[in-house]
Amino acid sequence: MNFLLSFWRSTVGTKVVVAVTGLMLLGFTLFHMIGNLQVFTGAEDMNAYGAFLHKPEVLWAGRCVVATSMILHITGTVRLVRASADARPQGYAKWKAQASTFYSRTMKFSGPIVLIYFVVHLLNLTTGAEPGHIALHPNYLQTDGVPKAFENLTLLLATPPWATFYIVANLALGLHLFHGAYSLAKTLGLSGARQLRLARVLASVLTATIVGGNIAITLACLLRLV
Amino acid sequence: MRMKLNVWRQNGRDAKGAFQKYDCPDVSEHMSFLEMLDVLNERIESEGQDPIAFEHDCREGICGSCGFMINGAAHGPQPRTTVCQLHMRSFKDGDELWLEPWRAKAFPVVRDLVVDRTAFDRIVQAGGYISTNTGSAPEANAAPIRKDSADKSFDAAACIGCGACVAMCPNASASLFTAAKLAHLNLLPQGQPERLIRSEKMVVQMDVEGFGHCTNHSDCEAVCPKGISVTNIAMMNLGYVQATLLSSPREGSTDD
Ligand code: SF4
Ligand code: FES
Repeated sequence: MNFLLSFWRSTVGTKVVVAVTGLMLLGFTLFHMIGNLQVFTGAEDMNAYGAFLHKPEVLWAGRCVVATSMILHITGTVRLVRASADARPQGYAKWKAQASTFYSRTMKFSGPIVLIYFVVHLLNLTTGAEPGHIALHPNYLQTDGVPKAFENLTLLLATPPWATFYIVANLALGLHLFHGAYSLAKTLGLSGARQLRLARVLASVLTATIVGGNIAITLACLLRLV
Repeated sequence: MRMKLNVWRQNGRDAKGAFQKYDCPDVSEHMSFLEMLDVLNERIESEGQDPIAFEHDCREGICGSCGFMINGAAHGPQPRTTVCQLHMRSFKDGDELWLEPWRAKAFPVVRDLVVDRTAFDRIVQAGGYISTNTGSAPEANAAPIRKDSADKSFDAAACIGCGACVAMCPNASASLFTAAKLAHLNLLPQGQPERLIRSEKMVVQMDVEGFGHCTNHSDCEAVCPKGISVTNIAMMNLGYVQATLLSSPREGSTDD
């Protein structure tokens, strides 16, 4: 146990935890986007898929993994952001980026935006089926605690303000995912030139797939193509 | 050529510093940056004031003494070049330059552009050595070393400990320096027996000194006068994970 604590206390250890949980959350986002593509195959498929995810075993296993990952990812990041701020109490009058990028330097801002996106998304489409029945939604439908995934999604995203919110939120997610996916490969020790090139390609492809898929779903609902 | 300088002047560790303007009307483009400051200092001294303090020793780009920020870039605008090897021909007549010391909690300002980098020494003391009684020097080719390991180790060993990586890093992280010192020994057969304990101790010391952490911005690599690669940082991370989580019994640790 002792060595786990000191691992977590070191900046490299915390980074590794942030990277591993980031990888899990990346997997979750990808899986979630692919599942939602069923909006294109029709209400029946999507609602059956929704009902499957609502089996208690599946639901709670999924929730536990995602919640644990998020808690570790966020507490780790907060620790690291603090450590960085402490490490340079007095900033520069002039500082010019040499290799860092807009998305690498805005991780600490895109992260909270993604968190807000996550919370709002839950309020939009998940909490309506929970005991409190709170839903930020024009007309939330559910039967016996199982939400009508297709109707709820298409109705929500057909409203322009919500569609706009989802598109903007996904762009922030893209900024976060791209640097995150490439960076976690390095944090987890990939150092060969070929490995890193592959990691960069994979990070771009994954980011484009997830963000592109989510935005395609949003636009399809907004334009009432589904 | 004429240069307008804004130089950070600070009287001591706890003094409040500020930029001071200097006009340098007759700079030769063949001067090195430090020679320009030498000339300026002579003038400042002749006016009865304290010269601008800056560190330097070899002035050949090999000792790692010199270094400060010029217009927001560590060691100035020329890649792979220390400030002592930077020449005024890299600038234009009439340029206005801002000279600032490295800024990091672990590198407190001693005076003007001079910072205290003994934190680096303590990181090296924590594990940047090998413990063997070597006797007389062994025959040069007695220990076979893979060519690519030798090359990577040699590249890492080129680090001169100037601190530009810390200065440039948005997180004030010393990862590039520490990773270079680790890779230099960890890639060679002589470094193997203490590889894990070295990886652990040097990373821990880096934290103790109050440096930030690495978020893979790569600004360090871009300003490093020796072109140390950020891939060394990935190797350091892996070494640390192996040392703390994957090795059992944990070599050299006190609780086994
Ligand atoms: S890694 Fe490069 S920038 Fe950092 S101390 Fe070594 S030589 Fe200087
Ligand atoms: S004075 Fe030695 S490296 Fe610049």
